[in-house]
Order: sequence, then C-alpha cells, then structure tokens
Amino acid sequence: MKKYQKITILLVAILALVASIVYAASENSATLEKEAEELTETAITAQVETILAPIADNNSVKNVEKYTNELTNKEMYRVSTEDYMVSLDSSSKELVGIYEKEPKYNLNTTTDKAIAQKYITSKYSELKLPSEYKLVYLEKFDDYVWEADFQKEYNGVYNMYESVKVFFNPENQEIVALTLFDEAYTANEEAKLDSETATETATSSLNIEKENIKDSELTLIKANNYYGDNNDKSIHKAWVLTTNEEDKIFVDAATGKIIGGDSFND
Amino acid sequence: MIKNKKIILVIAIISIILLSLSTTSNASASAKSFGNGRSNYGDECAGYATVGFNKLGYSSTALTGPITRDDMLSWINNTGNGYGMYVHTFGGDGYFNDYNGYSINSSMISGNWDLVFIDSGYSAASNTLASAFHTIGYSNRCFLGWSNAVVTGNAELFNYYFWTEYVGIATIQSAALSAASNVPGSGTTPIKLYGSTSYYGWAR
Repeated sequence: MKKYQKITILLVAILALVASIVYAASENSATLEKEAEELTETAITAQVETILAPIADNNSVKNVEKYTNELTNKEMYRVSTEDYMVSLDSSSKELVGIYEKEPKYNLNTTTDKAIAQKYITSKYSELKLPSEYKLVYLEKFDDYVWEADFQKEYNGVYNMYESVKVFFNPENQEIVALTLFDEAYTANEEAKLDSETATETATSSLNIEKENIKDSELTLIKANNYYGDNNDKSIHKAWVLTTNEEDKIFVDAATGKIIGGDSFND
Repeated sequence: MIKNKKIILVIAIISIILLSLSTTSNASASAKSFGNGRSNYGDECAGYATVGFNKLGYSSTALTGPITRDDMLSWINNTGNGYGMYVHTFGGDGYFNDYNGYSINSSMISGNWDLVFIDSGYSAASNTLASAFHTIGYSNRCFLGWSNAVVTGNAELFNYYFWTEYVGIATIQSAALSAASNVPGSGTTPIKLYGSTSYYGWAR
C-alpha cells in the first residue's frame, strides 16, 4: 500500500470518527433539551394547578404553549385548563395573569362594597399575591362584575405599574380576569414642584392659558412622546394636569419638564 | 364512438365536481378596520384589529389615516360578505366621527353585523349603536364599545391584548375583560359588550 493511500484511509477514518462524535453530541443535546422541556412543562403544570386551586374546581392543565408578548418583548407561557388561561413569565416562572375563557357568572352582582371587599381580599390572600400592595380601588364595573386594584405605595403615591388588577363576581365566587404588574419605581424622585408651579411651567411651555387647566394629580406615570420626540418610557413622579378639553399633560414633579401626555377618544 | 362517450363522461364528472365545490365552499365573512389618523394610535389599533379578525377566520383589511365618513359608510352599507367592523376614532353616545369630524349616527347604519367594535369614547354608553348594527338578541353577534371616555394610550394597550392575545381563545366578553385587566390603572378601561356573552367571534 502506497503512502498516500494510507493517509487517505487514515483521513477518512478520522472524518468518520469526528462525524460520529458530532452526531452523538447533537443527539445527546437534543435529548437533553427535550428532557429539560418536559421537566419545565411538568413543573409549570404543577405550579399552575397549585395557583388555581383556590379559585377553580377543575384545574388540571390541558395545554402549555410558549409565546412572545410583543409589547414587552418577553417570552411567556400560556397554560390552559378547562376554564382558565394562565400566563407565566418564561424566565422567572412568575405568575403574570389568570384569565377566564368563558364567563360563568349569571347572577347580578351585589351593590354592597363590603361583600365585594370581603370576597376579593380573601381570594387575594389565598392566591398568595403580593402582601405589600394595598387595596386602592374597588368599584362595580358593570351589572355582573367588580374591579379591584391593589398597588404598591411610595411615600403616599401609588404605582399602578406595580399592582394587581382584578375583575370578579362575588355571587358566583368567580375571578374573571387578573393581571400582575411588576414594574418597580426606582427613580425615587423628590417632588420639588407643587401643583401651582407645575401648572405655570406647563402652560407657559405649551403656550396655553392657565385657566385651561381644570385638575391636577401627583402620581407615578410613564413618560411618552405625546408632546414631541421622547424615547423615555420610564416611570416618573409627575403632576398629571387635565385641561378643559380633557387632554392630559405629564409634568415631572422634580424637574418641571413635560414628559408626556394623552387625550381622551371622545 | 365509445372513446368519445368516455371523454364526455369524464368531462361531465369533472364538471359536476367543480360545480359542487363552487356551491359548497362559501367565501368567509369579511371585516374591515378603520384607524383615524387624528389619533396617535390609529394605525396600531387598526393593525391589531386586522390580526384579530384574521384569527377569527375573517377576510380582513384595514384603512388608516384621513378616513372619511364615506369610506366608513361604503363599508357599513356593503351588500357583500362584510360582517365585521372595527373603528378607532373619536365620538360619543350614538355616533362616531371621521378624520374631519363628520359624524356617523345610528340612523345611517344598516345591515346585520356579527362583530363590531366602535373604539371611541361613550360608544357603548347606551345601546343605540349596538341596536343600529343589529347585534342585540342573537346568539352569534355582539357589539363592543366604551361606556365612558378612555385615553388613547389605554385604548391602544387594550386593543393589543384584546385582538392579539385573547381573541380566538376566549369568548369576546372574556377576551375584553382579560384585555381590560392588562391596562394599568383604576377604572381606565370601561369596556362594554352588548349582545351574546357566549359568542367567540368566529366568522360565519
């Protein structure tokens, strides 16, 4: 056998060996990925069944699917049971929302706020939702459903982006829709401007009459580009001014800068 | 002669098959979404609605920008297969406006509609518009609107969740409440449904 023939055979043998190693590794990787997915799905199923136990008679999971929330660019799991869809953050596996597929309620809801409050505070606790959030809003939404909002407080100002918003029917013992928001307010700005100064700053800047402002509220609000180019979408402590035409002007309570606004669709 | 008979028979069979296909396969219902260019979010909302109508099996198109009253009336008065309509605009109880502020009121509306969402303030403060679209009292029809005013940013958020996340996997009523719960803030989304609460919105 000539030398080049030996080298060729050796090269082929090496190639075959490398190919088989790569193939085995990829097979092993695919198997591991599949096992990891199955483990995740099993864990998610158990988690969702535990979450739903206080509110659903039939909480066995029928389907788990992954999807992307295009607004937040977050990967999510949507877990379906007979009656509910449950959304989980795919990274943290934290609960994002519980949503009923079909309304079951058939009883007109109470007008008694105490009954509604007793039901929702009890379920809130059973669902192990954030205990530091305070009930800041409880009103009848329509003939069948109440709305409750639990929000985190920052020195007397509440953060609606760090909250639980829930629709429910106390008579049918039914959670209709529930969303957890977990965007913390980190800027911790000091409100240097009072309402009067904020109004003067905004009306002067936008060239409108001061008398055109009919209402003001100190709150935590996200900046936007309503009044021109602004890439800032973070949460600010701001005065939200309402004009007689129902437009909203957001004035940063620390700097006096107009950070956004909005208008009603009427 | 026998050969000709065979050819005629084959042609006849093919003709019968084609004829039966053409009579049994109805075109799906159509929907149109309008986004008023005066709103910051008209394009986005009409886009979300188009996605949602497609999920429900509608043949769906959108018109955005300086939409006129005639644009919307020509759809409302269509004599074809149009059974779905979404409008993101300004308005009030019993009417909604075009780009120039001209109104469409209940007396201008006709036809039997399956799924209509007039996304303007107070559009569902009463059942005037829902009745005009003939969406009340049927098992497979409904009308969505706002019982109060809504800021356009919140309406945009609502529309994203309603059309892209929940429509098709929940009833319209449940999809609307699920989407409403995804908009932060108290009392920010006074969505109101008239018509069937068990309707999923599927195209006829």
